[in-house]
Amino acid sequence: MSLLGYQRALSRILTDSSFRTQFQTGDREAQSRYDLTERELDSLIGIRSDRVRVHSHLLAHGRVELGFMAFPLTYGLIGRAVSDLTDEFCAAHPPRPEARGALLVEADRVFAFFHPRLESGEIGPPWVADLMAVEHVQVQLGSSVAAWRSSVEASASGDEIGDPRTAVPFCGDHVRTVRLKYPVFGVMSDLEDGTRIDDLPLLPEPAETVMFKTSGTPWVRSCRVNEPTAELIRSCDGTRSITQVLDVLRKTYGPGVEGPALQALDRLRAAGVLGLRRSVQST
Amino acid sequence: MYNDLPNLGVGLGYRLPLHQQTLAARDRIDFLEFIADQYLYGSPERTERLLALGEVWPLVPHGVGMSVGSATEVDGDYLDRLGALVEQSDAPWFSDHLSFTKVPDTDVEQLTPLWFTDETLQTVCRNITQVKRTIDRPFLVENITYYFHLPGNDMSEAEFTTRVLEETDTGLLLDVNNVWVNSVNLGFDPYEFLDSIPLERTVQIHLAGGDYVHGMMVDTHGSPVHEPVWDLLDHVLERVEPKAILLEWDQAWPEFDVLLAHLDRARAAVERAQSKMGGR
Repeated sequence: MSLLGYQRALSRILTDSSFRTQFQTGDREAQSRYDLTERELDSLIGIRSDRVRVHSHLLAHGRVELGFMAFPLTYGLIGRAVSDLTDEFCAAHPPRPEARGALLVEADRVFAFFHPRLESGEIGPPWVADLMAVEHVQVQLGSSVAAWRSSVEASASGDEIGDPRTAVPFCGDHVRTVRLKYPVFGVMSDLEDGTRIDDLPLLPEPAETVMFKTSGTPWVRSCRVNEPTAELIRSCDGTRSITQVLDVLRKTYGPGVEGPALQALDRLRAAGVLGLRRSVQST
Repeated sequence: MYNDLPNLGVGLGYRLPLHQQTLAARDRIDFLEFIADQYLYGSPERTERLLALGEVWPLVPHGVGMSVGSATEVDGDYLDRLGALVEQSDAPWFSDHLSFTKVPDTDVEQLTPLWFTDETLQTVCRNITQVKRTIDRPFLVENITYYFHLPGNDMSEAEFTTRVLEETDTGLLLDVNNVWVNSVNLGFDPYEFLDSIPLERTVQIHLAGGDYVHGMMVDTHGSPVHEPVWDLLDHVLERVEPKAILLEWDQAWPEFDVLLAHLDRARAAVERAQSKMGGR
């Protein structure tokens, strides 16, 4: 076979304990999965199983640590709980192949596993759930090809609103709104500096925050917005003209919303959150 | 061989929880090395804060996810991102490990030992050539710890390492603790190992501590540097003059002064070796 087959089999041996047992105890089906030469097979069978077990244990912890590289602030707050749940995490999320960077893959798995536990209060202070959600969006937008493309499209679109009946505002994969219960943005710099923060007060009302990737850079920006602006962003889905977006907002917030909404539209376009295209159909 | 590279002195692996103590001890730390992978997909603010440290210290990116030992080529997107970070941080060099961390079926995500065969050698040389062609800064490879032999090698680790470095004309990031940990677990003479690799290619040295886990000495980066490792450092410094020595301490941090004392001790080791060698 080839080095690739050897490395694939070794990787499986290191990450799948039941396969390892089958392979090293002579299970023909397990051994035939990778079409190995006799020399390669002998090499893999000959690895000391007690040593491999130690390596696998370290690997499991290494996987979780890798995933948490995307959540350094969260990790600083719930590190002990993470360690206690490592075996459970590895059983729930075996390292299946994905055609993406390892850090991103593990970051998503770590988020899927730990965020619900933070939200339910099973581990950590409750506000860390918001912190982890923000860190997750930062990683997703900063690394997503779709977000890169969308941010370029938004910034390259027209400058002038022109006729609001035909101008169609859109935001795309480079924009996410998150609803936060705690003022986590206000403490992220402190956490970066290593300041210990034990508790955060619940906000009087959940705060809408728009997070967006800026065009031509890997940067993800964020700004807090009010409820009508968040609704405006959600309404700009690329199918409604400006006139139609204003109609949606007017139904919820009344006729006085039109002027502020147009101003917000301008600011969001200037910041690269929204793009603007001409509709091919007259609205 | 690497005379043009700057002499960075004795530095510390930058770790976020130690940010304030690190800044407060700026006069006792000569440079910082950071884990590049933590910034390849991170937020801009975090990267900006990292790069701001470059106004105080030289910064050196150190990666864990390149996987130069994979049978497949190195991930182009990873290299593009890493190249941008190397450029932004104005790093004198960058480094990763002589290992593999992923194959198409599985992301092992941990530094996994290579089978020291001719085929692996050709693969690693191909991949390092790809890295060097993509990122126009000196690239160093680091020896790893591993806990089991892969039987049926064509050559020893020392010969494999030597051939990789020489056939790709690459610098060495010599992790002295890794050599010692492997010698303890796998049963070989660490001095013999050091004397059989091209030490003259050593640009940077890593120091770290390990702990016993399940009866094996593990490279935890979570305890003081062991005395035999200091002895190995002396042995190396009597033979070569590296451009940088770095302490890695990733967990179970003691008082920050303990870390600084380690840096002072490494500095003293350099001075002692230099005076022995007649002030090279």
